Amino acid sequence: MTRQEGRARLLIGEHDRIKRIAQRYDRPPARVIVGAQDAVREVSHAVVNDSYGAPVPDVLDVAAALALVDRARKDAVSDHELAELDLIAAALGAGQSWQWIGEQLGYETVAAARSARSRYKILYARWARFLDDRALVIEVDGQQVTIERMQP
Amino acid sequence: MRDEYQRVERLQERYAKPWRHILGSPEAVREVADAATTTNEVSRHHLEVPLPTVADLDDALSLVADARNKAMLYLNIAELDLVEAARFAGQSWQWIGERLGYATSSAERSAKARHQALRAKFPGHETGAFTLDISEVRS
Repeated sequence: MTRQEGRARLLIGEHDRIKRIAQRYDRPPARVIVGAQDAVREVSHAVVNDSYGAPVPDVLDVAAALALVDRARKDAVSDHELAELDLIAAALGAGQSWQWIGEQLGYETVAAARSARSRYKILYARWARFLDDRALVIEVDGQQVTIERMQP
Repeated sequence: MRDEYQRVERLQERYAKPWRHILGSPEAVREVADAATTTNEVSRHHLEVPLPTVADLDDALSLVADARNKAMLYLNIAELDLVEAARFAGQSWQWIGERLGYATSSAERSAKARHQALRAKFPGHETGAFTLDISEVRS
């Protein structure tokens, strides 16, 4: 088995596990399982009886959720970085300064602008290929504004 | 200066809906970012997604670091609960280790070590009783 075949098999396995958990635990509209993070959270809450309306988990659910922990961790990092990138781009579009953004992100005042700009550059480089259809829209002074994402 | 709790609470009031739960900073940050990228007016109207304001961006950006830490913390606690639930159901450390993706030869040892590390990280975490259907335990 080549590395690519191994990866493909792993992805199919992840997809099947998420699908299995979704089929049992989906309670729309409040609970809809769309990824590994949702699947792990739902089963882990259900095993400690902390999820209203969820089925009683069986060992196969626990096995599927355990196998998704690593994927959920990776997805959490990706989701978080994309959200951070979008928020910085939206703040720039709203006319906020790098200094303001850096301070909101928790950087020290003296290095805030530089750190924020550097963080944006790193995130942009990492996610540039996913940004084509991710325009931004926000409200500034009561008006809806569509923002073109600034290149670092 | 408002604290994290107040910022999450404010974003909850603006963004949470019966079909959109905001339990803490990870969801709050994601909701504001998702709202900023919801450019389709029909979707925005249908899903009742508000337009993010500068005040929302202020709150969400301030929650970024907290959200990053909490997202990992929630997943670590979920992993701990799942591992202990599996043990409660009678599964072996080897079985748990293989599900967690460790190599077969070291699965038992790695799973035990991981559990010990998680227990050390959350010494006060009590799961109490587990709710599990163990009528069809399969290995």
